[in-house]
Amino acid sequence: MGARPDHLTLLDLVRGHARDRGDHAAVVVVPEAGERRTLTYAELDARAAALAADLAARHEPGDRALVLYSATESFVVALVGCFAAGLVPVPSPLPGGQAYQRERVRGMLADCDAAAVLVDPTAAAETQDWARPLRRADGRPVAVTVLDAATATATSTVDAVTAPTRHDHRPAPQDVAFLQYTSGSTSRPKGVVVTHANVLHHHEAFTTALGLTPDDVFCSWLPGYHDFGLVGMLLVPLGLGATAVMVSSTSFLKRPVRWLSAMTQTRATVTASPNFGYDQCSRRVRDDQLADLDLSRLRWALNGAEPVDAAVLEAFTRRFEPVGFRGSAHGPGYGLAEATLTATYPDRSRPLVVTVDEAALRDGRLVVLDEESGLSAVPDEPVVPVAAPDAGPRDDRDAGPRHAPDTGPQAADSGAAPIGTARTGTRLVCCGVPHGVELRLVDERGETVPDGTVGEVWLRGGAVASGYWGASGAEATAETFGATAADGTGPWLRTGDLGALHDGQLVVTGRIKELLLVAGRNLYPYDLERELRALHAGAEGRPGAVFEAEGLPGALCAVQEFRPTPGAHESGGDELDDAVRRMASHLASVSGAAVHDVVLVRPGQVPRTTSGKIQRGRARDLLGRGDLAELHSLRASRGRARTDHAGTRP
Amino acid sequence: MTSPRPDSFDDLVLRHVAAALGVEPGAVDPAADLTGLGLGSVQVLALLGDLEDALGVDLDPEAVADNPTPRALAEHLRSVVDVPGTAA
Repeated sequence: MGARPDHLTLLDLVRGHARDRGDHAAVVVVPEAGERRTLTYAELDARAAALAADLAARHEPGDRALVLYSATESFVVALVGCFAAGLVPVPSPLPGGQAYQRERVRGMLADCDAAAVLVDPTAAAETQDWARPLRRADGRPVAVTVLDAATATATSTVDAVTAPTRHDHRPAPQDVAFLQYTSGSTSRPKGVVVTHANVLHHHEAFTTALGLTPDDVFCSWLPGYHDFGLVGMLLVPLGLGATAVMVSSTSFLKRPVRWLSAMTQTRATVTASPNFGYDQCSRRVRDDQLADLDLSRLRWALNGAEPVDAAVLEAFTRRFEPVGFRGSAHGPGYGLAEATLTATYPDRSRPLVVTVDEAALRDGRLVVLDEESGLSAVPDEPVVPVAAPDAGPRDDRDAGPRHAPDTGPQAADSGAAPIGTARTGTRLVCCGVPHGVELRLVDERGETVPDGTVGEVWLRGGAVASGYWGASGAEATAETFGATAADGTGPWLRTGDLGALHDGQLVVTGRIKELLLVAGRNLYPYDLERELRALHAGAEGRPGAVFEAEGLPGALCAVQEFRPTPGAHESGGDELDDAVRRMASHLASVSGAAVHDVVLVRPGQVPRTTSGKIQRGRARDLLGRGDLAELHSLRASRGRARTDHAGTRP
Repeated sequence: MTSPRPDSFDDLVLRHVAAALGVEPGAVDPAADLTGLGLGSVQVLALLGDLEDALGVDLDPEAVADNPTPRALAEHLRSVVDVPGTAA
């Protein structure tokens, strides 16, 4: 490790696999209906080279190409084809049917001034319609290239040049590999600039820390425009020469069992999902669907992109242990697109869950009352490569054997068990140890805090990106990527996340930045609040607060100041009903998350600081205590429906 | 979920929507937009999957966008199921 990122790129690795193990499956697509499809490394290389020749004939090196995600092999061909053509791929969702979705993709396209859009044939027509009126900064049209799977060549809408010869561009490590747009924000798209060197530094850390090999089979439903899906579940396996199995996210969300079935059929060894994906499986896979599942080959069920819940890990283990899932496969980690993907990695020799003193945590101290090392009664597979080097220290460090037969039942009720004093404990999932990056926890002066004290997570190293794309991102780049520590070192990446170190592991405790992580997406409350205000005249220009519902992680609440139309008393109920539903609808559509409540309150009720900053945490507390002067709410509107509807029922 | 085909599509949809919202079926306004009731896109897709399982049909993910209320969705299901073999 170490020397490779300075000389090679991911493209070199893929070309090497095409030579050395050309027949090995690079990509396996598990469609919603029909047969699985396989693309070997040799086929991937050939198709990417053909596409690269076509792209290079029509575009300048360094041009950006929006690569629209479909869960098909063409997405992977497009990524590698862009590398080989010297273009910068920008993974993106399809523009979609909803106005806000189209606006979001258009915002990304405009921010990076993309020259081309690459799309799978299955979405060609709608994409061409969408792109037709779009113009680049200099007024030229945006070229749409349809990735034709059948003929293994690309057909383009703009003066297609047939270039039969293989295009052999070789990007340099310092060249931009791709742009990763991070937030669901429509107003301020921010594209993280990830270089080829970043990708390979991250690759080395990821594969070493997790003990991955070319024989691993990765299987994921995460979309390829999401950093976890793109880097963790596509680029890492491609760099290794391993197999990436793609399941469409729609297919998974409709029937979570499809993800598990795909893993069973393809003998997957590595998977990844945000917390809510595991939760979906535990709650929605039926008993009669278990019979066909076999998760015994799974070595890693990686977990990130949103806070990890110990109860969700336990529930998943309990549900799927009977079909071979090992609790030790749970791999919660921590990372962010600004560090390519992962910064801290699960380590099986250390505790998975800690119970910490709640009062101390509120004071910024991590006081550990209890540790749980495993969530499973099933022992580790003895051949797991990563376990070997850790075997020595692990026995010294742990209080007891990690996979004692009684660990499972003990874990199940440990929320109440071992604390024993009046102190109240809260259980936090440990997110592992740093690899490939230097990690510091610092106070507001940039001073490193003592172990066990909460500080902001700062990172630096080869996997940390250089900044956000373009002039529009310059301010955010300086703020986020340009921090200097109290000891004069820098630049550091300020993550905005709060955490403490325990036994070398990062325990994430909260956030400084106002960012909601729900349904695997990053959302800025400020954006959502601005959009809600604009939905109704009674809310226009008035403050509101959007936050996660108390005790319901992943569900959103909004409190919005509202002035009903004067003189509309008779129909006032309808106006308020209409307003809460429009706001709930917008929140649900944009976030993808469930909306717990939308509360309209009298002007002056949303708490602010003296400088006018919205106090979202305080708004949540006031709402929880019933201390807000409510005009109407989504929950009340559901109650109204109950009364109206009840009369019509037999 | 593998129950026999229900007599009323409206009841079926309301039951599933209510379960997703954590309320009684009677508390769901059949004429309200599902997203306006607070269902996120993750829950909407889950609802589609459950309805497919209950009825043994394939539904287009756009079915909810085109038929956004419980009443409209029930009507859509009726049209899909009445003509066997033709998914929306």
